[in-house]
Amino acid sequence: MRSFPLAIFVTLVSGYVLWSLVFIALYAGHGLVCIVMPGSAQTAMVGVWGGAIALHAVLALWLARTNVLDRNSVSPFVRRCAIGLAMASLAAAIGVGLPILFLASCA
Amino acid sequence: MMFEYELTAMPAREADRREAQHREREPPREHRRLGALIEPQRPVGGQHGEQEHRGYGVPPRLQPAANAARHAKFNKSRYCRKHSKAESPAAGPKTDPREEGIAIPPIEEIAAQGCDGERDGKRHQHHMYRMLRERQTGLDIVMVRVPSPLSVFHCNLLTPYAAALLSTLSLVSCSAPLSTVDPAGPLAGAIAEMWWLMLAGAGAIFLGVMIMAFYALRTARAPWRVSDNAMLIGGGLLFPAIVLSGLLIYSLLRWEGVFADAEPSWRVEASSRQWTWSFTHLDAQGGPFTTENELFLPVGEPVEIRVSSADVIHSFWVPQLGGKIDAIPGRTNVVIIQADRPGAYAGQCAEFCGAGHAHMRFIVHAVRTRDELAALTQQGAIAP
Amino acid sequence: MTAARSAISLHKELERIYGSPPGWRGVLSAVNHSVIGMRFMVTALIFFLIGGVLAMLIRAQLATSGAAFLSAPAYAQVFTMHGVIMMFLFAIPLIEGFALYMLPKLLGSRDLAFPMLSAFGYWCYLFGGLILLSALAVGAAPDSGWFMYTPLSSQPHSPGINSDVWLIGVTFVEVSALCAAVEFMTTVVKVRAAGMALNKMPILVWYLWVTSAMMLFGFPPLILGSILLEVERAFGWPFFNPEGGGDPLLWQHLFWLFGHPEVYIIFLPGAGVISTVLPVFAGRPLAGYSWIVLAIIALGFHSFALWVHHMFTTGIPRLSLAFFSAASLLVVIPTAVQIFSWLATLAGGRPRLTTPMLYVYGFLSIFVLGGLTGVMVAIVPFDTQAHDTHFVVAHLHYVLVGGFVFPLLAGLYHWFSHFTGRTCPTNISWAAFALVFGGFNVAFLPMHWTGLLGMPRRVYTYSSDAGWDALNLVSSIGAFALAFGFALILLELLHGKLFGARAPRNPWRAGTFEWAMATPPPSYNFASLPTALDREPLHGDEALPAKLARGEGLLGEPRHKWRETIGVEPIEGRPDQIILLPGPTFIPLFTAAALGVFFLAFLFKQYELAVGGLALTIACVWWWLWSRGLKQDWAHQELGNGSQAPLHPASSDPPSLWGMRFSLMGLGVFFASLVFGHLFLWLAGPGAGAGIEAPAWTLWLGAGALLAATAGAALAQRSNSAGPRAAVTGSLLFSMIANFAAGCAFLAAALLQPTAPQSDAIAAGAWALCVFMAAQAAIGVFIAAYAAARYLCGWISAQRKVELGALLLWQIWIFASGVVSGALILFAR
Repeated sequence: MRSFPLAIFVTLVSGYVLWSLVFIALYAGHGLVCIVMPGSAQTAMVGVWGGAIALHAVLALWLARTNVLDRNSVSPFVRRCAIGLAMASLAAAIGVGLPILFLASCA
Repeated sequence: MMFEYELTAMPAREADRREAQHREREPPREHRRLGALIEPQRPVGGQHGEQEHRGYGVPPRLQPAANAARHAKFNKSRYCRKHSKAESPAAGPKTDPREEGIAIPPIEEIAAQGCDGERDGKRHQHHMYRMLRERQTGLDIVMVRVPSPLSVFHCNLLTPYAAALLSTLSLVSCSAPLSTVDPAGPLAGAIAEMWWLMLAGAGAIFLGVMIMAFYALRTARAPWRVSDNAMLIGGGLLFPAIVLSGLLIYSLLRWEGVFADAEPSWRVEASSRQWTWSFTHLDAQGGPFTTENELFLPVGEPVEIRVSSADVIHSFWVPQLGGKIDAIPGRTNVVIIQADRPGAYAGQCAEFCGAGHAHMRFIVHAVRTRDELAALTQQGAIAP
Repeated sequence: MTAARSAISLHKELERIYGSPPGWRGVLSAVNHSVIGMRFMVTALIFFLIGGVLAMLIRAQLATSGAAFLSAPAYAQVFTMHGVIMMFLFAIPLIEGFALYMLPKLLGSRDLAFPMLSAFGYWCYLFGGLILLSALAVGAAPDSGWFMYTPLSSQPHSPGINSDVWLIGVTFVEVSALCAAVEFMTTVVKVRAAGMALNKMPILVWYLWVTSAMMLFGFPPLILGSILLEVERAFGWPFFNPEGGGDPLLWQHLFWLFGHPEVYIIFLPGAGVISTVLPVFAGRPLAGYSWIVLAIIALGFHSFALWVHHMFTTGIPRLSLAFFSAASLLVVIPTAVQIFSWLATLAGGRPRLTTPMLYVYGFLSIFVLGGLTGVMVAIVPFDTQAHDTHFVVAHLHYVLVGGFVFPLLAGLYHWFSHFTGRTCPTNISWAAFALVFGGFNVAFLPMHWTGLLGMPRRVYTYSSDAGWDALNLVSSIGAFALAFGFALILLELLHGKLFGARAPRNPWRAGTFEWAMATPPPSYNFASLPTALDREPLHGDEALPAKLARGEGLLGEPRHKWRETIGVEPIEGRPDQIILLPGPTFIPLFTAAALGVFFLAFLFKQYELAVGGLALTIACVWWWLWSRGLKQDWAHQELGNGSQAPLHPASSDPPSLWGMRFSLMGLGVFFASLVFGHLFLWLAGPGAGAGIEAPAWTLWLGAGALLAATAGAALAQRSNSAGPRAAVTGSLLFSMIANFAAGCAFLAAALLQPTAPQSDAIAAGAWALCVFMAAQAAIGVFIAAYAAARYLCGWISAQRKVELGALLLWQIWIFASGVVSGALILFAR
């Protein structure tokens, strides 16, 4: 089956596309959480963070198991890169949320 | 207002030289010294030209008993025109370069400088000033330096040796009126500590990388047996990940810890406009009072500064007390600072704000006790 | 000898086809990538010298306390223009020029995907740069700092033309950056050597590709910000004015959304040069190709998540700052991967200390230091002290000079014989290097300390009591030594260009395609096109250059006077089309000149003339597009290896559609920035503005009309492959009318309600969305009308259908953006 190359490029960077969304969610979510529920802000932020990490893990697993990239006889290189980037973005999602544990949420 | 900046930790020769210069340009000293800075470039505008110019001086050699007389002198401008000749002292008593950590004798010259400056007319860089470093605002005070947990890094301990090495080049002196590495408050102290720590770490990493890079140039060697992947994973991933997580957590905890539960009871509104600061002291006994380009705060307790701007973006910055915070029109930003020692600390606008940016300075007077502040306000010495 | 003669005759024939016409005609009409790329680079270097002179003025002024050399207003113009020139007129254009010159050669093709766009980009750059320079010459240059913070740069505080010059000049220049980004993206995707799968691309191509993606995503926020600020200055829409409910912080967000990626846009090509040059002189392939590919893609994304670290002192809540602090530290890791890859390459090879390698080592030491101080300023509390002091000035020069200028010099020496065909004498290289390296460190290493002693940036003078005299004097001495170093390099290169000996081919024995041609390169690059078997094809086949010159590669037989190159399927690099390249033409120059009329008229507030300039530009674009394409169906053509491929207008995956996709991505970022701005003012702005009460029916009508236009475009495409001619014409006309209706509806949404855009920022935001949608619909009208005209004149057939595909893409995009805009206008008020 012939596939659309743009879709392959998007799959290649899907890990980091997700990471970008997560980063926006953390930044915007922080503002929102401190307006809506300042009392349990840290819990909420940990929730957002945990959810983000879980999403990344799901994506990485999916990329490792899916045949979307194989089916089009895409070179193993693209597949390796896609999975590598998904792992990297997972690590980045963990790293970027670290401050939630160490700072008061709405100070 | 003309305070004297003096480099404390500088070598004796330097201090002598400066003193000599002082004497030499004594009579119209103000003109010579500051005129060169101010005259060629008078920032545009003039909307502040009309504002009242308050000269401000700190009296020399304070005696504990001389409070009243001293406070009277605080409001120099009221006396200026009449008494300028009378009050104009010879070069004020100069300090010897002091030993670190010793209680500092008060150092002042000044007094009539404000008056001299006044003659220059309505220039609005009236906040051009020189300032003494360990100055005191009203009392004779025994200074106590709070030891830092990392005092081994502390600049002032290193300085005498380094200064001796590079004597005339004051390249490695930590002391300067706006020095961030000569902290006088807990926040600035914590940040200086971070700096020395990061400097040490960065130096080590830099050396390591350079040694690796240059070792590869040795022609007589065999190529390394380290695999590429080991280098990439070890050096590219694990090493920075571990070091940086540690640094991030350390810096956040250290930062968060400085004013963890501070509930400042001395609050100041800092309003900025091109190119002046107005400080309204909200919690003064006897009601709020406002001063221009001078901020008063009690020593040893956290103080809340609410920073705002009436025109363009400025930035409130007193390097010896803590980091800067921007004054953004339409917003009020809050920063907490604290001075651990009495004295006068230089402040500077840190965001480019137009032609007068370079001269948009102010002074923070840290006074020993609330009672002192109360006394100052009650006697009308500060109120405009 | 027959082989050699045939190589020469092939060369002569190709030169007749590809060469530029003689004289001024040829100069003004050139579109060849080598010519345009070299022009970009030389122009950028001239701007570098001008920026350098400004730097010398700065250092002369700061050398002593209380200097009376420059006045405060003059100093403000000087430091602002130093930043503007170095960032916008030197670094980015040099990268564009380098990529223009190098990409096709690395990829084994004859030119870029859209040569006319290259030329257009150059003229935009030149004209925009000249606007800025003339302003400097008459003393009306921008003076609010290169990042133009509002409100200092807005009307009440900068009433002169200075800020407008920045906004309009820089926007004009950035048009060229956006064109380059779209062109490079498309080129890397489509215009490669046969068989060049993604993992066989030279590493420099990956770097340039990621760089252009970042340009495509990074510049739109800046352009949007510039437009909004110009509209505020010219017409009083208060986006950034707190008195009208606007927010100065919005400018900072938009600016740094561009400004931080910009740093990596500048650094990545430098790193790419290092990754190319260093392995050549280490005598082994780069360690960890895949690692580097991952690292630079990661770097590209991370660089967009750092912008707030320029705003650590603006009063944003601590935890939010900490996210950006963490993100700023994370970006170190992909950089560290690259540094350790270089170290591993050096360690596993046998490095030769040639002149390019000197600069590689200079780069390593300076850039690592800059990176380490970068880690420091990523720590929020430390940054609150270091921010806006000379510490940051020192840091950014370590990063930019270390990360860009040193690699650039390494590359200049490395490719000097490629650029000029001559060798560069090395006898003064070491002295020049010593001056540059030493001067740089003497200038900027002490500056860290100056900053820590409290010297703010952008002060035109300081008092001697501040304790900065000695440090500043040392910095100034170093800066002048640095300048002498650059002068020496310039002399050496000029000498080499004029008097150097003929260089042998591939003097460094590098492995990539750019060395498989004569130097200086002929206008057609390769007499016949190579096939990529691995990443360093010249190492596998030493005789490759000779074979290519004899026409033994692909497309080695000139035919029909066509300028041909191969287009490939993007992943594996199988040839799927033959791309016909345009020849010399004046259209890009005229288009850029028309755009220049628009910008200049706007600058001088001659709005009627500006409208005229816009109309002229649109006419030029029509002319441009009309000049391309084929009027008849061609059979598939021989590639030269026994297989055949269609010509690109008849291809199922032509480069133009990729160009359209990438342009839409850039436009998408622009629109997303506008949406962000509107939401930001609505949710986080200081004033509670009223917004506009747009009649809901106008928005429904607008969205509905866009949906209808999209359906019309789809129908036209369908009828084109199997349907009556009238159906195609009819659907195109329908689409055109629907677009027109949509445009009117969005304008009506703003006009049929009482709130003026000047009244508050949220209303201004809604107005901006309406105007943006109306403009997009107008472009829809243009494309539909153009497609209809092309169809009627026979340029479109069942095979040749690019216009219809482009129209459909456009319609889908504006329908989607129209729905979002409508929802925002209705609800965010």
